[in-house]
Amino acid sequence: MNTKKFCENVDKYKDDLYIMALAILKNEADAEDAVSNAILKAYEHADQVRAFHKFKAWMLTITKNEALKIMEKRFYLPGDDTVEAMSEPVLEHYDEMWDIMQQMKEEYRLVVVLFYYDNLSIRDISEVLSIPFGTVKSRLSRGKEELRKALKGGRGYEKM
Amino acid sequence: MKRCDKRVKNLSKEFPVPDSYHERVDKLLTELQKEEYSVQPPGKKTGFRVACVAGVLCILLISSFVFSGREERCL
Repeated sequence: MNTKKFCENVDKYKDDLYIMALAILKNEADAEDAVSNAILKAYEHADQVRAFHKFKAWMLTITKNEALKIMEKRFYLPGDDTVEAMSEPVLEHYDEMWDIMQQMKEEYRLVVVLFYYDNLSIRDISEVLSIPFGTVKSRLSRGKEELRKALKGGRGYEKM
Repeated sequence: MKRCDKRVKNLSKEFPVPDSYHERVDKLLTELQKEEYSVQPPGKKTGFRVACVAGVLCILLISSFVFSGREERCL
């Protein structure tokens, strides 16, 4: 894959990558960092992409790993006041739907975000998150149920 | 459930991705393209295959020399 093709593909999926990182980190600045790191890492290893149709899942996997690295750093920086501040959700751009998602357990949230926001199939989600197909299915079903309840119950939903 | 799915899908399309993020990614992609060094195509594998074939040929050649030497000694 040449640089031009690589950049075109990243540009096509950049919003999906950001949403994925934000679902993990809950912080816009960190999500931006995670995606930037992921793009650079992917660029270095672009020769590993075998099929174009797998590019999105491949990029999402790298982004997930970079987001998890940033998350780990938050825990392993002792005595730093900024670390606590970093772990607080920072969202300048409010979105009601996203607000509901934030209240979900992480295991459901990631699956639901990848399904609804990134439009991934269950098989691709299982590949990106490295969890079995059946687990994705059950998490998605529970996540959907929680979403349905939340949407029915309006904004006062606090149960998740 | 299908109605709920549709509603969530529609709402998810309205998610506000910040402009600062778009600018940052665009800048990064422009920089990558400016570098003008294309990402290596999957050439490593071909190189590996060629090396394997060359290795096998070398082994065959050496073993044929060894065996021909032995045959001469036997005669």
